[in-house]
Amino acid sequence: MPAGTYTVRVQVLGYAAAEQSVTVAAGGSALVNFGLTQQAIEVEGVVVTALGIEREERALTYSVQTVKAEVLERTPEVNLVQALQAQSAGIQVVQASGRPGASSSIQIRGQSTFTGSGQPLFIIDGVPVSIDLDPERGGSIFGRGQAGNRGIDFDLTNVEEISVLRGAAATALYGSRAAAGAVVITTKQGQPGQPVRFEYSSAVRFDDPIIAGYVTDWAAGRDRLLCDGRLQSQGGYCQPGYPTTTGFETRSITSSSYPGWGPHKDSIPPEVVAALGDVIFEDSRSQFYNTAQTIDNSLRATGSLGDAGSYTFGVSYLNQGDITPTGKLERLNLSANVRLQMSDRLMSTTSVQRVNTQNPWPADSWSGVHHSLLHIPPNVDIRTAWNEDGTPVMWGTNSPHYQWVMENEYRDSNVNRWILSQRFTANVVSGIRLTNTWGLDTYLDERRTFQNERPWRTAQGLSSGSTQQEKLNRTQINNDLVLTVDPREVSPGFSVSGLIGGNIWMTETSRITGRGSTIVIPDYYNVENFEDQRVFADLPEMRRLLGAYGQLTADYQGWAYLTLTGRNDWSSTLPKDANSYFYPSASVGVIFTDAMDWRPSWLQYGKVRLSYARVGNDAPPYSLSSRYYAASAPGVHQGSYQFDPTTVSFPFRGQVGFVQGTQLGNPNIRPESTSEVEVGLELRGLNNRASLDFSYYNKKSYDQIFRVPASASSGYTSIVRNAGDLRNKGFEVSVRGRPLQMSDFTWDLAANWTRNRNSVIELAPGIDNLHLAGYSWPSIRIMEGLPYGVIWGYGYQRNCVPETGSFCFPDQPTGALILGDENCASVRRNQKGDCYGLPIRTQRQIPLGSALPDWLANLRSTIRYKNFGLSSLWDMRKGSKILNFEIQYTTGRNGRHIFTNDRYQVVTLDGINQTTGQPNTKSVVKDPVYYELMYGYDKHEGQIESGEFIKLREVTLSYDVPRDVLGRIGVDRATVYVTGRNLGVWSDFSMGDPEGDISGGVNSAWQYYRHFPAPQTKGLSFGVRTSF
Amino acid sequence: MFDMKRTPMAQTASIVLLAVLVGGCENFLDVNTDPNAPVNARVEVRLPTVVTGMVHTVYYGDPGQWTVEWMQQTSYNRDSRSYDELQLYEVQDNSANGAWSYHYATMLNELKLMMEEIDPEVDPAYYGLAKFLAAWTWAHTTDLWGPVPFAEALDPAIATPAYDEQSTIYAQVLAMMDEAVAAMKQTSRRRRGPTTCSSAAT
Repeated sequence: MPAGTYTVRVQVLGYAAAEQSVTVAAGGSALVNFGLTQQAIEVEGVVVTALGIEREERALTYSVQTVKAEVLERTPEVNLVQALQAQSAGIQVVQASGRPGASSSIQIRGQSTFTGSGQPLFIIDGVPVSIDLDPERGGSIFGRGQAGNRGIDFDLTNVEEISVLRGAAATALYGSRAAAGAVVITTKQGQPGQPVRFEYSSAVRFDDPIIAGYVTDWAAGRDRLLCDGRLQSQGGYCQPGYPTTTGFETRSITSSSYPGWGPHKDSIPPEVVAALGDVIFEDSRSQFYNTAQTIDNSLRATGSLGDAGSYTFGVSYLNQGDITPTGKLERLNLSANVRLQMSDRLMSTTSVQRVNTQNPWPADSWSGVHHSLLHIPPNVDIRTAWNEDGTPVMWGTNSPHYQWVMENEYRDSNVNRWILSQRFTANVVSGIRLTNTWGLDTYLDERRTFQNERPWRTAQGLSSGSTQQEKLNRTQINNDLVLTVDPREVSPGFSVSGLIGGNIWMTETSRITGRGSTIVIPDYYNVENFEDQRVFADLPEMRRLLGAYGQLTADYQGWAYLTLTGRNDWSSTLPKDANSYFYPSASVGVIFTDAMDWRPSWLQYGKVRLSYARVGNDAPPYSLSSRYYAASAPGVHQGSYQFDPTTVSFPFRGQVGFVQGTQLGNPNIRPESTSEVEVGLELRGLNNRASLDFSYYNKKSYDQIFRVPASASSGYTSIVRNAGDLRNKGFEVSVRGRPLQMSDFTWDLAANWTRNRNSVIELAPGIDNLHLAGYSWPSIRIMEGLPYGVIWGYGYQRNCVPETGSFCFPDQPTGALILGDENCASVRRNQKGDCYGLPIRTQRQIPLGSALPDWLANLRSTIRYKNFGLSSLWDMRKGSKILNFEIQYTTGRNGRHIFTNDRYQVVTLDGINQTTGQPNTKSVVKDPVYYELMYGYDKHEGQIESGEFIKLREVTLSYDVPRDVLGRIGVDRATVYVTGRNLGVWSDFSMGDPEGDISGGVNSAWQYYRHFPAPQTKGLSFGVRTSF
Repeated sequence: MFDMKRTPMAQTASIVLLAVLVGGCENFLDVNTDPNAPVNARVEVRLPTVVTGMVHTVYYGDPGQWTVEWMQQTSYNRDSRSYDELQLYEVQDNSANGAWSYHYATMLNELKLMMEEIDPEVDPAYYGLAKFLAAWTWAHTTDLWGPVPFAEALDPAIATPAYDEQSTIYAQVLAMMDEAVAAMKQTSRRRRGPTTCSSAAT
């Protein structure tokens, strides 16, 4: 270096850049000291965008929000999708239940398909990976619930950063697969020049169920006379004078009809105490559930091979327990990532991930114990599971103790998964790179459902036991070949860069299912051990896509940016002569503070963004033609056959039978389209201590391909068609700041606020609503003219002038309740006088309100004081409603729901008399009939509850062990922490936590339909993170 | 070290690989045929479905259950709401959806497709059977629901077919029976016999 005066500029992440001039004498050296000031907001960050392209944050022309490792490592979640909950604006994540291996689903910028799940594309290091939910063959959401989605296979400690691409402009290069957004994940890589470094983290976690919603003060019985829950034959006790013909209850306590109308715990008569001793009251769930224990360990080695490349090797093992005796999630994840600099121009990145996930889980939904436990009255002691002879305690002739059920009837999923990728990057000439990325994601899911012999049935000559074994194989192969041109100046101050690329993508899904019923030898589940055996072998369902795409970006003076993209896809699922579709996007960003050279003291950076994009999408496979299927003839659909009608299936005694499907194919399907406009504003100011990112979007989804219901009299019950017009528009606001900063104390806040408004402009000709979730009634529907997710069922009759169509909404201000008169007849019971002074059911089902939230908000606070850190994550949902199906079975029917806690009080409802039109004066006693007519069965309006909540999702206290202590034992860094998960849930929802989705994310309407999910959990984890 | 000359080879290799993947099999995108559900099926394997459906779904299924309960021929003592509801004669507006769909979209549509595919000159036996079953199903449909779509029914182009009077339908049913009898009197000229269905029939 020649002698002279130089300017030295220092840039360090997290600190403000600084410059000093230094004079160097010939042959001499100079020492310059910099005092850097800490900066709250990372100023010139780099963000991973579509196709893994890293772009400077300032050059972005659309919104991208990132979640970094230091935030992810605090989350005690297991599911990759769940880890995103409350971490970004514009997204809504819901966890199906608290059981290990439960699904999580995510919605980006609202629901943009009518009936589909609308899950975004997940990409790990350039390779699309499945986070899909694989429904079991013949599975029933209502009957037994769903297995988890494949987001449970990933090791979160391996993630460096997650970028959430929300808008169509951001995802345009990914094409139709990212029609619902994209989540781009970058894993941890060894850094050049870094010697080998090990990271070890270990945590142990304890979780308890969130239990609320059921009475614990009222005993089992009728007319305030007590029963102890045992049958007469088992020495059961009912108070003398018990109002049944035998003086005893004949139902088992697991029945939803077992009455819970006994005395209050404070007024147990002496004769009962004399007969039974003290009666103990405790919620059956707290009696049955345990504290779940989880161990999570991971070890990773990263380092560089000098000039030759770098590597990461990781192993992690998770063993997550359940609050039930048999649920578990056991996951072993092995990963290797090797980067080789094969020459100065050619680099190879090879990544291998091997996962084994074992997930036995007890059924939830209707057939699960979580449901049945709700019905057991609190004075029944269920802590004893076994008799002295080893047989289970029986609660009825065919109702064993749930401990027996757990150990003898459960489901299991065992997934072996490989995710492989190979990338070659060649520098063709300086500034031009050719990259080929090949990726494979393949897994085999071996599922088993067991129901062991029930010996007491065998003793009676009755059959029992069943099995279903399923091997499900899903493979996804992706290849992207991309030629990238780095920015080059075409004229002073104006530079352009670009890329062109091609994509090949294919998926295959196949499965083999063996089914057996009536077990022969107990404990032995081979299908051959069953009297009736069925085998189904589904050949691979295939789907392929070819894409060609290009992107051009221009940069003018470092303050104006333009991005243009175009992509054309050719899809296998569209008609051959019309399988091509093109979609463009254009977006601009202008840093107006630089453009106008406007630098007020309070504002350091300001940018406006504008983008427009159109995204196409293809059809589900095989939608073009009607098909024949192996036939079955359904029998009775009711009563105990509700979930499993007595169907005759072909082949029947050797005779095959086929039948035309009831879906009419459509050879003229066109691609579906979404267009989206987004405007954004980014500000950073107050000495870079605060920033704001604001986006407004308006998204229109039209020509949707879906199965439009048809009148069966046309010969088909559904026709595949292009139809509809669905809009989502909304605001997203992200604010970050550092309100306090002292020498050894900092306080950072990051908040996101999201408001999405959905409107269904048009469904399909002749169709004004479609079923999304639930039974045929009550249900959640999509209706023309209303937002997605309308609760649909019978309401209470109201005196009102309809504001929307011909319906009076429950919250319509003019809608005084119409209450029954002396001579009224309840629609349900057909008994005169039943509804005197009580609401009357509407004659038809009507929309009962929108389930969707008004807005979502979350807030993360991070405080650092010396070596201590305290971080918390708050989450809020405002204005959502839940149809709580559980209420109809647990109020008037058995008096278990908390709504019945005020029983036997006298109340006069506000409303008008149905005959006189005068204000109601009739007072009613809150007895079982009252609750039945307010909440039971078809009184769906009474089953609607608030779905709002505020949650303290996470709070972490951490301590960084001082380096001088660690140095002595050769450790670089060690942090010990304790994290609380869901420690606070504030909600008006009767069950404590309104989040849950028995479908696991079939679509986003299901989360507003409560149907006996396993309870959510809360707990503490204790852990340590070290590197050495 | 990697030299200049070999760099294009890496590119070329990748492009060739891509070309092989795409062009190697000319019909890369030609995978939209469902391997698990054929687009066509012979009438011999479709007839058993309709016959079974007639017995198991139309007679034994939901409408049959309701009838026997309302006639008090059978009674249920089950802990089930759906039965309470039925026994109180509470029929919801969707209670019969399953039966309605089965009559039209499975039974009648299948029989219509069969009759369209069968050449009555070549295969009068199957034609006659299909015609007879269609007549029987139409009669049963109007028995259950009264006026129902008939003339405009089973045409996907007509989303909301008009309803026909019962008297019209019964007259057509009688005519269909006559045609069925006439067809069954013909001698079959089909070359290949129907698959055996002896075990199913018994």
